[in-house]
Amino acid sequence: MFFKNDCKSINNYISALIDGELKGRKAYKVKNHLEVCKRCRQEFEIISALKPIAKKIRIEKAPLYLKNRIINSIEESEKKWSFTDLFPAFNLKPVYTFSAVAALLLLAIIPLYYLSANVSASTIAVKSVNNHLSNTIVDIFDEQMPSSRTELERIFDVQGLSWQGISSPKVNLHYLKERRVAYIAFDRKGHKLSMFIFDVNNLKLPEGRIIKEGEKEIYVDKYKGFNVLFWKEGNVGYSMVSDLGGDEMIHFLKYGEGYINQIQKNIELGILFE
Amino acid sequence: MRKKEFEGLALPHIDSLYNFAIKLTRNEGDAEDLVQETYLRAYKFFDKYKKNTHIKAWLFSILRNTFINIYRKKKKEPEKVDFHSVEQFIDKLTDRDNLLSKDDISNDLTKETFDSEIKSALDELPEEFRSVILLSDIEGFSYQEISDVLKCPVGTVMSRLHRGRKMLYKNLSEYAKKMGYL
Repeated sequence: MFFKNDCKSINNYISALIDGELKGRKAYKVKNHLEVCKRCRQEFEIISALKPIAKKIRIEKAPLYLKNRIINSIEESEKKWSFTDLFPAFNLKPVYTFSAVAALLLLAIIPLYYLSANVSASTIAVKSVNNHLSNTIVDIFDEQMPSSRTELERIFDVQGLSWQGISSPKVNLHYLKERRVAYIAFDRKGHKLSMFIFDVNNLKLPEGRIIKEGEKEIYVDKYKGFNVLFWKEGNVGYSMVSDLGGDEMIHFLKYGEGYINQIQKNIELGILFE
Repeated sequence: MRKKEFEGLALPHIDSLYNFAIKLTRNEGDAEDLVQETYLRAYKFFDKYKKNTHIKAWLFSILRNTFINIYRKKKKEPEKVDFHSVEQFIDKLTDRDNLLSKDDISNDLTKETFDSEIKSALDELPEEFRSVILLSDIEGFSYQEISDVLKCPVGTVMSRLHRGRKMLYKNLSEYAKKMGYL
């Protein structure tokens, strides 16, 4: 088909000729055709001239936290299938009997562990991580609308801040007045760290590990490879999500608390991240 | 050991993969997830990767497969191309007396306004054409490598690239016309 000397079959090879990807007889055929066909020749010229346009396409760089997120998720995945890697031990030498038994034990234990780990991911953890990933509030924390003026409203209810996004190079704030939830995203050593402030109301609290940090009781959870910290003060819940290590997050919490207070104060004063 | 080797080989390509992912998904969150999923799959099948072959092309093919499997299923309608209008575009250009010369184009390209126009022109292309242009003109893959990534014959790469370029330039020519370049 290609060797039929007409435009239709030759035409599609013009770019290949321009890119130097057409060799031998095919290249010769196309070149011959270009000499006799004005239309294809002009097309050749236009495409050659416009090819550099692609170099103007903007190259996007991966955000810095993505690398760590991937390394973490590889570690997580490794835990999941390490026991299957032990399988071949069965058909091998008797020395492997011990590992085979160990593998069987692992087979029994690991799925249980993962089952429970997945089940324990609380609504707060799931919603926090989803919001963290989407960079905004897509999942509302509590479906029920509180009727009375709440603590959160007191903190954020400032004129001009009903549904608003405010940003500075280091901090982003979204506040949904109607739904009483605020989202503050920080940049910490190139990692994104999200903080959500919301009414607790009837929200089911996470179960599982609790660490004490000063007066606070902090719940620790994990979802999709992200660490989620949750604590509450009165009826106000705070959750923090990041791919940073738990220690790093607690550290941020310690000194970051002042930061958050400052944000709240600035909102009241109307300064908002100068 | 396996993990260290994998990370050493694969992670340096994270920026290229992310750039490809964002051009495919057109959205940062999806692009991040797609790149993460790609690395997870690549790590899982790292044993199948043939040592000393082009790992970047191998990663790109996993990314593109993952994209097709996960993201394109979500879409209801297949993407359509109006080839007739593409052909007409070439005719229109060649019919004109004031045909673009190479110099005109390179001067115009220095203008920053072109940046977002190119982005949206590229975004409008159906995925298979967008991919082939990105792999060839941005990543510098050979046709053979592109055919490995896209799992199609080299001849298909040739025609897709050529049609893709024509579509891209056509989308841009409307802008150029509007701004009085053409």
